[in-house]
Amino acid sequence: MRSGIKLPEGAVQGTVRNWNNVSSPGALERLNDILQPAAKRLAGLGQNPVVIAASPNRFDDAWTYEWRAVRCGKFFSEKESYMQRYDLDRDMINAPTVAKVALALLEQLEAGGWRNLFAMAFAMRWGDESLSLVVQDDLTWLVMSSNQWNNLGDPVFAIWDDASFTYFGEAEDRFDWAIQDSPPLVLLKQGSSADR
Amino acid sequence: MILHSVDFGAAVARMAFPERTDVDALMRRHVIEDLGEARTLSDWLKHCHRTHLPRLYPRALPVDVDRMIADEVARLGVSDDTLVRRVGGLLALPMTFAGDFGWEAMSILCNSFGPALVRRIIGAPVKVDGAIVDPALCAERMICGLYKAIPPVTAVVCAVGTSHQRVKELV
Repeated sequence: MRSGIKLPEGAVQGTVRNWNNVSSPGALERLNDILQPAAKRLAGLGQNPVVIAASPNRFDDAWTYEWRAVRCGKFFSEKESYMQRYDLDRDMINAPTVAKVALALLEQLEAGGWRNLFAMAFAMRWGDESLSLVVQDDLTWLVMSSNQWNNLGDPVFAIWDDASFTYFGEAEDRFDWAIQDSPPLVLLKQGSSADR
Repeated sequence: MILHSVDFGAAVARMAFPERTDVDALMRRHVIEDLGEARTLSDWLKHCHRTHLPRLYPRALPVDVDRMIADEVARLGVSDDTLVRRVGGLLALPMTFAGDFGWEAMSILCNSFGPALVRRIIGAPVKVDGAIVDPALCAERMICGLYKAIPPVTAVVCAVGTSHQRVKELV
């Protein structure tokens, strides 16, 4: 999205961690370089919302898999899925073409090491957190979700066409599950009760 | 931490060994022997970094144990809810002893240790109304419903702010 576009008002910024504090500007720049074109292509799919997400371990105590999720309009699937409710590989066979393009973009981000770059940029280590690229109402966002026992919040970054992405506010806790909701991204606002 | 308490730990031990009448005294002796004091579950939780405990899924709040049980019974498609009630009762047992800590106390058993304890106390899969019901699997599904995850037991243990020896010094 272009600088100057009107963003939602009243977003609350987290207090647990200062996400404006960048540990590795080089990693941030490299991450931005792969996020910008991906966000543009995702927005170009013409779907609302679109979310692609990944985590090294979303909810399994056995720590045995990488999680992926794709939301594209009404389509949603994930891998691995608790009790096999979804099966990304299977669901993709008959998925809309736009969802297949979204998954291909996720695979490109993974190949580009987006999660590692994020971790380097903000000096964090991946545990069970997830990282998501989001298009909602023509706005493009990067969301990290702390998932269930880390306490880094669910920071939301605005992705710009012509500048580096910037910290904007906090999403409701557990964005990894909100991906399936409509709308997926709900920003915490002044007076909301989801503080932690 | 999870079972070394004179109240909650003893209650769990009574469920595991219902035929014994000396469980309370035995547990008390054991806890004092290991920790040097008759620690309760609330004592343990007071020494936890509460923000480090697994967080309940926001939309699972407020927790309704009866609804949680009813949902599981419906999933199983059985009419006899006795077994599922026992599972839900065990998972929610910490609330009986540490209700002051609110729903955070649920994390004591709602973690990867919970299903194993349920298997040990309530037992292996059995047939109910013609369906195979695995109490441990029921527990896992209930935990996942509350946390949208199976929190690792280490998440709970690591929330303890100090070792029990250090806590004793502080107290």
